[in-house]
This record gives sequence, C-alpha cells and structure tokens, in this order.
Amino acid sequence: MSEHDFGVAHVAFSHDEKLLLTISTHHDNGGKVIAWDLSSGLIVASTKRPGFYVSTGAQRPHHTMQRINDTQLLLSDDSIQVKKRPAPLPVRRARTHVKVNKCRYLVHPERWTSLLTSSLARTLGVVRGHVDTYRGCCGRRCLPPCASSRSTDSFLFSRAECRTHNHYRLSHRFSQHVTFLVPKRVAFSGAQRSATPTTKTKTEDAILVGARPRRETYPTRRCAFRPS
Amino acid sequence: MCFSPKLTDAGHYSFVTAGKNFETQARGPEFWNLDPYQGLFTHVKGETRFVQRVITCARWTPDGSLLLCGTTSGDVLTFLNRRLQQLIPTTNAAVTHVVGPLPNGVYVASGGDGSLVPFSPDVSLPYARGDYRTPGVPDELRLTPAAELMYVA
Repeated sequence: MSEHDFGVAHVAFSHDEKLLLTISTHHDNGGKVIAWDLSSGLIVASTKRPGFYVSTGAQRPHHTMQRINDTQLLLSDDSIQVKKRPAPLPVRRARTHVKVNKCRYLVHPERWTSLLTSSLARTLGVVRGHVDTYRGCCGRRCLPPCASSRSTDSFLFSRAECRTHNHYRLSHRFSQHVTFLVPKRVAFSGAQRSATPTTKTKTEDAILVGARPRRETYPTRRCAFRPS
Repeated sequence: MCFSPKLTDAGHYSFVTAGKNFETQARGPEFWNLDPYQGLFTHVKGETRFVQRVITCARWTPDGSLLLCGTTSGDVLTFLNRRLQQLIPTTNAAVTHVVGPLPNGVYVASGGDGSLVPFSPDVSLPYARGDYRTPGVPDELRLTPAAELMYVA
C-alpha cells in the first residue's frame, strides 16, 4: 500500500480473486487506481487521476490508456468511441401550440395517468384533464396502454411539440412512439374566462391556463379512446 | 467500484467506478477495461444522457450483462452496454445497497430510511414497498451464496 500516498477510498476483488483493485482518495493527486496481483503482491497496472475524484478543472481525456509506472505513454483506443450527441433539430413553434421548455423524464406507460395528476405534470406542461386521447404517433391506429410495446419497457417523455398535430409526444426509447394529444390552449377572452368552471382548486388554477377547451376542438379523425 | 463477474472476449477484466464529482456533484459510471498482461487501463464514460444522479452503489447481474446502480435519489439505474437502459424508482431515500438476485430473479435495494424494496431489473416499476423495514440504516446487506438468506447489519 505504499503506492497510495493518502487514504484508500475503495477496494474491490475480481470475480476470480486474482486481482485487487484499490482507489485512493481525491487527495492523492486527484485519485489513483492500482491493480494488485493477489498471488504475488505486485502491482499489475496503475493510473492516476481517473476523473471521478477531481477537484481541479483539468481532467484526463476519456479514452486514454496509461502504461504501468506512469510512463506517460498514452495510446488512443480505437475500439471505444463515444458518439457525440447530435444537435437538436430546430423546432418551429406555431402560436396555437403550447410553449414548453425542453425536459425529459423516464416514466412507465402504465403510470402515465398518475403522473399526469402529480406535480410532474406541471413540470411537463401537461395539464390534468386536458390529456384525453392518445395514439401511436404514426396516426394509423389506436393503441391501448402498453400495447405499443412490452409492458416492461420504459418510455421517454419529451416535451417536444408536434408541429403537424397539436399534441405532446411520448417517445419510446428505441423506435416506437405513443402520443398524448393535448388540445390547444387558446388565448381566452374575458367572457370565455368567466365560463371557466369554478370547481377547480387553487392548485389546479395555477396549473391550468385559461378555460378547458371544449371537446369540439379536437380533430374528428383522432383516436376516440378515453382512458379511465 | 465493482468488478464484472466475467472477463471480456479478449480476456481482460472489466469493472465500473462511480461516485460523486466535486464540481458537477453528479457523475455517471465509468466502465474500465484492465489488461492484466500489459498493465493497461482503459475507461469510458457510461452514457446517461440527461439523467444526472449521484451513484452510491453498483452491482452487476450474474451474467455480467446488466449493471445496477443505486443513487442518492432512490432510483436504481440499469445500464446495458454502457448505456442507461432504465430508471427504476425503488426507495424513498438514497439507495445504500443493492443485492441479488434472489431465486425468483428479484433484487433488493436498501434505502437510507431503512426500507428494503425488492425490484426486478426487467420491470421499471418497484414491487410493493413498505413490507420490509429495518429500524436503522442498513450498514451491510449480504446474501448467502444460494441466496436463501439475507443478512442485514
């Protein structure tokens, strides 16, 4: 343990109990990882400043390999590549659409109703009671809950608006999509505001913007499924 | 830090490290590859996309395909091929340990409030919580080799 100038943060044995891995605390030059051979007690490999205990701004690039004894021989590994996240496509928002900020959540499709009634609904910009129908984003068929994929799959909420339709998109992590249809929020006049039901609580009033649109505002070709 | 239970195709060891970064306060796991013959380390970041969590514990599935990471937010992140696959809400407090699998394939996450929540990495919903609770924070959580008993310290 003389290689660690300061404390040891964590140790781990390999599954075959041939190697012992030790990680020093961040005081030791930003952290150091050493692999020990348990049969001989010798150091197999070591590296410095792995990056998970970093107190300074300088970090080692992600794909580096360092030889034993810190010979500063850095080799690039071609087998491991990290794909850069593509730049988001510009979304042109129509005035009739709800303006939301970009935010994504992992939710389960079976829990979307409870999610919409939770505080996350406000974060998502989805108003309780406004989400009445949903369908697959292809628009060709109605999908009951969890019918678009296995029920064990998780879904990815994206707050991106659909420009073609007036709905939010609940996109599957991989390929399929389930869509929540959200009616338009129109700029209500004073007379229309007076027609707003007064049974809402203050919390709901804080969530809701204007009166609830009438059901006739839905396009007629949309899915008629009403989740209970 | 957690070793993978199997070697890579090249006969290298693989393990994962995760923790808290002092600058960003949240850092995803880093997947390491150790070549014991040449003494070379290689590490690459796990892809968590938008999910920012402080990982407290990690555990591989017995086949080494899936990585389960407990977080301070009470969620368990599952990584498949270095990419975030699922986010499973388990405990109400930070996840301190993840043990498993039990004979029925269920894993158990222990929370900082003393709760023991079983969950399955295949389903992104936790099992019924509140059935098991320890009076204090479990300091250690272990399973017997046959997974018929679980020790809570």
